[in-house]
Amino acid sequence: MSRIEIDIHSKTYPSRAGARPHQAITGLRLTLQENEFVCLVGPSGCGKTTLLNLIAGLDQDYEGRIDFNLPAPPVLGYMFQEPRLLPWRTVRQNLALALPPARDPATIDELLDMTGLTPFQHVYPQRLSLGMSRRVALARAFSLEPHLLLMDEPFVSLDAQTADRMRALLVHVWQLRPHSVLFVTHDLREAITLADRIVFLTPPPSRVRKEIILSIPRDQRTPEQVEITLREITPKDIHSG
Amino acid sequence: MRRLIPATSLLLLLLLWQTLAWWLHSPMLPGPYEVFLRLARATLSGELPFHLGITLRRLGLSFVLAMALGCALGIAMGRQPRLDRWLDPWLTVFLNIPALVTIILCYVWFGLTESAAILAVVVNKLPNVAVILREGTRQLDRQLLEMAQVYRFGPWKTLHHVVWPQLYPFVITAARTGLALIWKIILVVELLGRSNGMGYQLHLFFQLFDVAAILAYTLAFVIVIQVFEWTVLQPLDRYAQRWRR
Repeated sequence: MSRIEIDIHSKTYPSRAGARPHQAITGLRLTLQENEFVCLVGPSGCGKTTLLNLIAGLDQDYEGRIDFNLPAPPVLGYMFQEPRLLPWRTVRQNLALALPPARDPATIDELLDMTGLTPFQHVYPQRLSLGMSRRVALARAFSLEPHLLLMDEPFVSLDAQTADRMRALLVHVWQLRPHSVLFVTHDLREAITLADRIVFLTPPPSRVRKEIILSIPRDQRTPEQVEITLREITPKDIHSG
Repeated sequence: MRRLIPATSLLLLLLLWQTLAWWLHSPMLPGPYEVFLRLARATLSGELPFHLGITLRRLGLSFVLAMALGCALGIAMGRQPRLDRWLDPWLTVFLNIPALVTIILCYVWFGLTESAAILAVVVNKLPNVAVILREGTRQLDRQLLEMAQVYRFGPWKTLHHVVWPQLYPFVITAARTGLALIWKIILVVELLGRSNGMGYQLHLFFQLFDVAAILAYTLAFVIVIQVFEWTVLQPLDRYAQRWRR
């Protein structure tokens, strides 16, 4: 395992249907340490999803370099904003399909157990609530034991309680199987709860504006502590963005 | 109740037919009993099964060909806008050529042969399948395709688990409308240029003004199609729907 170096010189969306070309990213440099949990925060439309898609290899039309420092292509887990489960396959089949052939199938049982999905493993996704579908997506992303886990506002539009439980679950599973995480959010409280390091992006064309390293251990990040940290960084980092 | 209504409705149709036959009392409209008797006789003599078998074989062959080629063309056009722009006008042209014209031209150009007959049916049906599958391919969920790419499904797994389930309803629709269309065309094909099959027989009965035989053959037709619908298409449909809420 090793550092992941991201250096995007420029990502531009070509003009389409009369709209001018849109420059989404310029000169964005970011390095992820091994097993580091990084939260990306920035105004909406600042190219966070674009960046994740570049890293995931879904979009190869950019200038720059993304280096995983690995001999083979990296294994990536990607938790999209929507669960993106195959509706015609059961929960278990959805997990099994994403599992690389070399992995032990018992991983699925482990993850089902950890995410509390064992009773629902033979259910089709359309019968699940959004929270449960997200748990399946989370289990799927973890099942690969990825080098890097990309997460695109994965807990948005959940009620506060469910979102809290999902965050706790994420941290729990991640600590059992550590790897680097790049977590996109617009919720600074969420970022403070989860991250080792918060990276702030500018409005488009986006670059890294500022980084904050959070040294408080995760188990001490109570809601009160999160509020204190939030106040420490808020005046200069939220309202100017 | 759900089975009772269609049954009663069919019974009413039979009754209407019988009444009309009594009232007209003409050889031009034989009653149901006479037709059933004729159906039984034609079946037992082996004449009906022979011609029905030949027609079914032609139907099966042209159906499989039209579906396979039409699906391939439709998917290709749905995936590649350039190809679509080039071929779309052709499709429109072929969709609008009357079936009878295709049949006549196939016979004129390729002779009164079995392959010309099959070709005529395929050419009639293929554009229809292609249009339906093109629509299905255009509607493929990009988000799921991206998911499959990130999770390295590879071409085979993607086709089997991501693409096919989305195209399936379109294939079923194409098969349904396709069968209905081919049924109708194939009779004309046989009538015009073959010396066996249901179309040929119907033509013969028409010249003899044998209405009872025409009705008996029609009945055999309707029964075969209905059995196919119940035993093949509907179970396939239910299977495809199983995951829906």
